Amino acid sequence: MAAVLFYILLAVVVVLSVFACYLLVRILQVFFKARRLEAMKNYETIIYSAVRKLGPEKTLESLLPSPKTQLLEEVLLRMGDEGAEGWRDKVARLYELGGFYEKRLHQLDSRVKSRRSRAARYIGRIGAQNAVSRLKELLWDDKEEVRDSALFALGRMGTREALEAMLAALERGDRWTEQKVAEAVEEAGDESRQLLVELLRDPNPERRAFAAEVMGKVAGPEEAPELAKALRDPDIDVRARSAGSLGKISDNASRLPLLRALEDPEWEVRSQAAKALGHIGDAEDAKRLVLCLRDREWWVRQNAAAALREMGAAGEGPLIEALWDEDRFARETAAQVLEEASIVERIIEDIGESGDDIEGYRVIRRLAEIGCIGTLGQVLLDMPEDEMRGRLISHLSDIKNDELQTMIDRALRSANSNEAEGRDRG
Amino acid sequence: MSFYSILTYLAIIYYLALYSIQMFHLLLGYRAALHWKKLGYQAETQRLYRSELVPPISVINDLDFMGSDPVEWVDKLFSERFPEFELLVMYSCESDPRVEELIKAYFLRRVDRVYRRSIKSPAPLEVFQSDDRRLSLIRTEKLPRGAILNLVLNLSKYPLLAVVGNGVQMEKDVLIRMVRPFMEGRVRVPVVMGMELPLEMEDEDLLPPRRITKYSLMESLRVQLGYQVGAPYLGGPVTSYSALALFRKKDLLEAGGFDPNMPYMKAEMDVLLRLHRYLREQKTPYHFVYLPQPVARRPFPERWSDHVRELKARRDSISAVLWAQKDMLFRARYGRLGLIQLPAFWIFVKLLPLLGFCAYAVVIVLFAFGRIGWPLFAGFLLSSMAYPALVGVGTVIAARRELGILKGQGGLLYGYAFMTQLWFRQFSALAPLFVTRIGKERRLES
Repeated sequence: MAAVLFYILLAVVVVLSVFACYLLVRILQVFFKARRLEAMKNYETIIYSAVRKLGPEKTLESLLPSPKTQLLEEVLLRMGDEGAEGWRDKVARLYELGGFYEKRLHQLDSRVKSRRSRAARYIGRIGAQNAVSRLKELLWDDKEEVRDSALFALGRMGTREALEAMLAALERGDRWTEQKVAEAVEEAGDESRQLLVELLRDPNPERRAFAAEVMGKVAGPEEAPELAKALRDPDIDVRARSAGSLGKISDNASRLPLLRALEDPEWEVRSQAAKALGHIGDAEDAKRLVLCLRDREWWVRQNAAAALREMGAAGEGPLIEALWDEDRFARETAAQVLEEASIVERIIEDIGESGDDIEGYRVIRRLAEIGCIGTLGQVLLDMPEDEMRGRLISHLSDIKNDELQTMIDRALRSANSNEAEGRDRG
Repeated sequence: MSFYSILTYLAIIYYLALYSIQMFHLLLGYRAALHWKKLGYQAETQRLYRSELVPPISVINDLDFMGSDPVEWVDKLFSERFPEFELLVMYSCESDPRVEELIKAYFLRRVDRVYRRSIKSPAPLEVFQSDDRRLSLIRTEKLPRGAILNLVLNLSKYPLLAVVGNGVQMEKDVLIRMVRPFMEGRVRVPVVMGMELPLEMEDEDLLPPRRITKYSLMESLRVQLGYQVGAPYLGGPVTSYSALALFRKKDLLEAGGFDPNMPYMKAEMDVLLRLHRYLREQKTPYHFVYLPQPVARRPFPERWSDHVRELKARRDSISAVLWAQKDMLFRARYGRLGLIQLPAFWIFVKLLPLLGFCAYAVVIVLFAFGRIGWPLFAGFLLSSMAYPALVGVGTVIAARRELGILKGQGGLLYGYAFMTQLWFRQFSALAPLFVTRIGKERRLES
């Protein structure tokens, strides 16, 4: 019994001791964290208030003669992240004077990958531009983590040299690298345009494709002819991305090459060209786009239909004509787009306002014949005027479509019940 | 050494192996979390929302999964920062007031959708669509979820498919965070999943109020951080279910889509294993991703019976899926998956309730009848209860440090983590063996 009690007491003592240790560790953690934050705040205040007046060298010599290096570096990195106007150079200089730059530069050659990666990130955060050549080497490091950090650092620098170095990494061929380079290119603004035009002539198709895509965001009508030339590139990806970018630039002069691209043997290019023509929105292209509704590839039909819809009234006429097209795909796609563009509701509204509209009835009838009766059914149910509903139903009643007949019956039933309800109220 | 001692040693080895594997996975998961943290994953990913290079996503949800206010759910999703996505909402009931509500709120119009039939699927009965085509409401027949997901595969426009589970609320910026692994392209990423947390967690992500939910959360953290996050580094996870999963549509189609006869959880688990099979047969280097970050919140069990029911559904799904793909076992063609992951999954997951029950029964009986001594019995208890409790504590440490949740509850939290492994897990593992009938009856009632 005594032994059992002893062991129970021992267990209690052990648990209490562990708990006490845990509490002690927590208290110490909070204490040191508070001290650290306070010291960092002090450094930050000193740097912000003194650097402009005294300059980086004197600030460090007179006000921060023996700082805690780890904390000072952290403060400088945070200031580098903020990147306030006119401060970046001073922060970079302070970083150099503190000996951190030298240390991190040295660590870029470390055998430990986490050290190489961290050093690259720190240099990038500070924006030390003389490290570009060293960071460029890291883009081909064995470790993914290090390569990513180098990319990050070069992106933060944003100079032409850094951009050129980053473009080399495009050979990795992943979307994330493209994204990082695109961000840097975009931030570089006008300076990057010429670089991208040069890149469009690069022998590597991946680089050309990247340039074609990013130009859609940063280029203007002046660069559009270069993209138009790229529509004849041997690589599908380059052609498709160029077509997409021409659409984003929306320069009317690009219409002709884009219309030619609608004949491209590859569906990716045709679909992007159709989309681009929709963005440009010239009414003259509507008839050519309607022909794309017959394309054997779903995406081309889909994009051509969306482009025609985007054109508004100019695209609607050819779409209505396509309802009588001999090609089933063309008919169905045109019907879907017209339905999405609320043609049924608009025709009903017109009939309500201006009496009988023979063309309108013809379109509705054709939609019903094709089997495109979704909106029609809804309209029949929601229609407030019985007379018009009756006329519409009489136009549609001879069409042999079970679903349509069910909808008509439902609409009639609903009309009768409304009538009965009205009578009851009366 | 007596026969009885050998039996006890076997039981001890079984538990030691099981929890050592989990501890190893936990370390791998922790390493992954650290890796992403070091790369500034969150901060850099935030920048993607302005990008045009981000692949667009089709998000799929079921009207019944959206809770009582689907309009609010849709509003919340549409406030996500993401360059381009569409939402497809599926439902089967013809006259549902929630449908009317959605149609009115988003001015949806009935359209006859022309779509690409990439895989065999049932046809939609009705399609309602918003003018900007971002929201579609699709009525289908009452079909198993697998068939509905196949229809969605046909109807969706975009190359990535996000499948949302029952009652799920997405975390902020989740789409942008989940899409990044697809862009990294070191190896092919067919699916991205992420950590799920209870909806009911209190402010500042503290423990949920109900006791069973607390235990359930601890257990879920152990499974997620102690297996799913780390498993992709070892060629796994064999199969998995996540409240929010993002698939590459092309891979899904090539793997044959979802099984049209399976319910939701089973269909998702099944397709993951078939994705493994397909990609390994094609000799394509690939990597499943389970993000060590909270991506979704879902209702966690509030009662013991709910917990057991959920657990049983999971176990049934695992059994069905493993059985359906049993020919992958011990086949060198499937690499580490066939030779290590799958056999280990059978022994330590599928057969755990049975082997665990036998181990406990045998060791207790042997001890009661004096066939084994105190040291062996204590060794068994340490390996089956105290060791997993350490794993549980490890997951809490990882969750606090890397997920940034459950901060500020100190010792209480570790107490729960410890207790969960001490008794809750043992009972949970054995419960489905005894409550099969009760569960079925209750399901029928509900």
